[in-house]
Amino acid sequence: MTEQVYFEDVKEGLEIPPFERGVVQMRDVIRFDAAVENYERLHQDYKWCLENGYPDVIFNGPIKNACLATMLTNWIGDGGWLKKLGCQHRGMDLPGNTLTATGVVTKTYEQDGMGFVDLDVKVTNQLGEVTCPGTATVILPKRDGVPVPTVFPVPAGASA
Amino acid sequence: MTTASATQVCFEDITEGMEIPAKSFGPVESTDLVRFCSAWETYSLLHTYQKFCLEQGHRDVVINGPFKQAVIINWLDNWAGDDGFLKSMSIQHRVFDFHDDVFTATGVVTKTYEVDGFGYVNIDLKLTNQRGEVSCPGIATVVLPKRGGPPAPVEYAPPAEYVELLQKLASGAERIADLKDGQGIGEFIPEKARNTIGMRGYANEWPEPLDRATIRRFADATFEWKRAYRDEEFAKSRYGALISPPLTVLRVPINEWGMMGESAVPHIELAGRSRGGGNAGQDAEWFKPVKLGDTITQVAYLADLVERTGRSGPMVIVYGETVYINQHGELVAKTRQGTLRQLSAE
Amino acid sequence: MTTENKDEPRTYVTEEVKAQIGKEGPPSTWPEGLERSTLRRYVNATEDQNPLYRDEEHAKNSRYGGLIAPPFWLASHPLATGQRVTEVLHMRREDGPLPGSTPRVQIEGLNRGVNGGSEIEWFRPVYLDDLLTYKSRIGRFEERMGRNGPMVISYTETEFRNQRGELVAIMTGSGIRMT
Repeated sequence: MTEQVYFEDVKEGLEIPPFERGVVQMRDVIRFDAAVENYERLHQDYKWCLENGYPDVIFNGPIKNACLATMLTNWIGDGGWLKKLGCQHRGMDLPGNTLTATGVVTKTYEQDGMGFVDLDVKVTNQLGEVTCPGTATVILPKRDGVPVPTVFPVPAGASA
Repeated sequence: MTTASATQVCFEDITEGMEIPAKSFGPVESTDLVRFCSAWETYSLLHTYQKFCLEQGHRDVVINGPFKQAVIINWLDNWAGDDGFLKSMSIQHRVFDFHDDVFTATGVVTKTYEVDGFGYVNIDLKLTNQRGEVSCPGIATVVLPKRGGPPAPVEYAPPAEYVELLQKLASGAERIADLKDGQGIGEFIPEKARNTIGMRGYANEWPEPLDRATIRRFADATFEWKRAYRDEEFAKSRYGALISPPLTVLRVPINEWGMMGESAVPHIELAGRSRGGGNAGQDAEWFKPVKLGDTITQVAYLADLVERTGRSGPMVIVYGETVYINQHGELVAKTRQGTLRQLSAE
Repeated sequence: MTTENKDEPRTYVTEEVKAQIGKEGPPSTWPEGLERSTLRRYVNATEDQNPLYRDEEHAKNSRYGGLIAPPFWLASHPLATGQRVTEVLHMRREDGPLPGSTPRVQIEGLNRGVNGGSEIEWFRPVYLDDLLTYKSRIGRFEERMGRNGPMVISYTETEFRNQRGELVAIMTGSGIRMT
């Protein structure tokens, strides 16, 4: 198991360990669709996809969001908290594509006594296409031993 | 005890020679196949990815055997109603069926008889596709209540020879059934293969106890709306807990868990060169339902090797049997599966 | 309120469109709580080896106190796409908006729509047996001049709550409308 990363260890520009999802075959696409009960034709029906102008079955977007999230939760360890993850699906990925999630720290700051880290993240395929770029915010524990909470206050504006 | 619904079929309604109301299913859509494969947890490209199927020379996505079993089970299980019990079903897979196919399940009652005050009905059945081909011929036995009487039992004792088998399994023995005279005789069956008959093969335990999500996935995948699988209050009153459709217990792990079918029995070598390995069909018998919270262990063993000569020459059918046992050591179901190996002399 | 003047740029976010802000779609509740089989399938499908989501002992000894779902799990399911679990098996689009869906907003003059992405903010973990309900509403509109002409970005907010009514996450989705 990797050691816990602490807020004090993180500086702007740090590249976090990537998550190599590897080759995602059709079998893996179906497994993911099955796990989340997504049976949309775009994500499993080859015949329908071709009839509708797609080159093949198209990856379920969340496969890529999950790559980003896994990269981040692997990095923050048991002691961190994934606060925000936003991304856009810019390109299609087809069965047989290799996905890699990478991230770089853009900002570190303190807020409410906690250590916040902003990152630029992205999923890139084997053709070098960035099919899913995004940003994330994590909270890392500080070396003072105070654990990062697992419950956060409801923001103003959300229904109570 | 809940009152039987007005539409509950009873033993008195059945006469030998009568036809069971037919049921159609289809056209089978890609979504149906993927949803089914998801419940079964198989991600075989043959049953989900048209691109792979076309590359293999098939006309479209191939429907898997268990899917067709599910269609037949749905038909019989719903005909039997809340108070009936699907006791056994034996079917053979005769043809390839594909995406967009339409099936019709039909059956004729061949025999009616009583056991312990309940009505047993034997049925000759057929699952026919829209091309007029009989995809799955078979037989089944359904237990029905008598009019005004209690629902069919939900627990059945295993046959005597299986009590002994279960004991041997529990003791950890490698040989769990005796080799009977006349078994495994054939030109292409070496002595070593013959002596493997009765030896245990692959065993697997479910990764977690049966939960509501899995029951619902199976019910959704097989279009099952019976109260037993959907209505927890009703199911508790009848079975003690929500139960899963009959096919659930037969889910043989592939991909993530391990092997299936013939590959679950101990390895045997036959004389000559063999090819093939198609799913010839499955005989299934149920003894009790699988309930919420149950963990099933399944153990396969080599049941028989039968040599035959067909139009394509000699073949050996490898018969594997699998017993499905719950966490209390009770026999929930058993199946027998034949796999054809076409042979040619070296 | 705005005087139409052919020298003034047209606003696509009319009073009618603004009146849609805050409009909610019907809520959707998962058919069952987070079950072990659900968790197993998801962590295997995403190849996530994190013991917080797989190893009960490890999770119990962590500050979470028990097995939790990977954060993205709650948004990985299709939200009202017409394939949403059991509801869809006996529902048709004519029956009305699907549970969990956002009310549709027509923006006159901008007929092309592109998904702009989404952002999730997390407030609590999801534990085994937690039952989630989510509800979507129209959040706000932003008007911009893009390279190819005017565009309006509509933001939808989906709130995820557990069986105790506690806020677990908010997902903000954006759609870009263009001519």
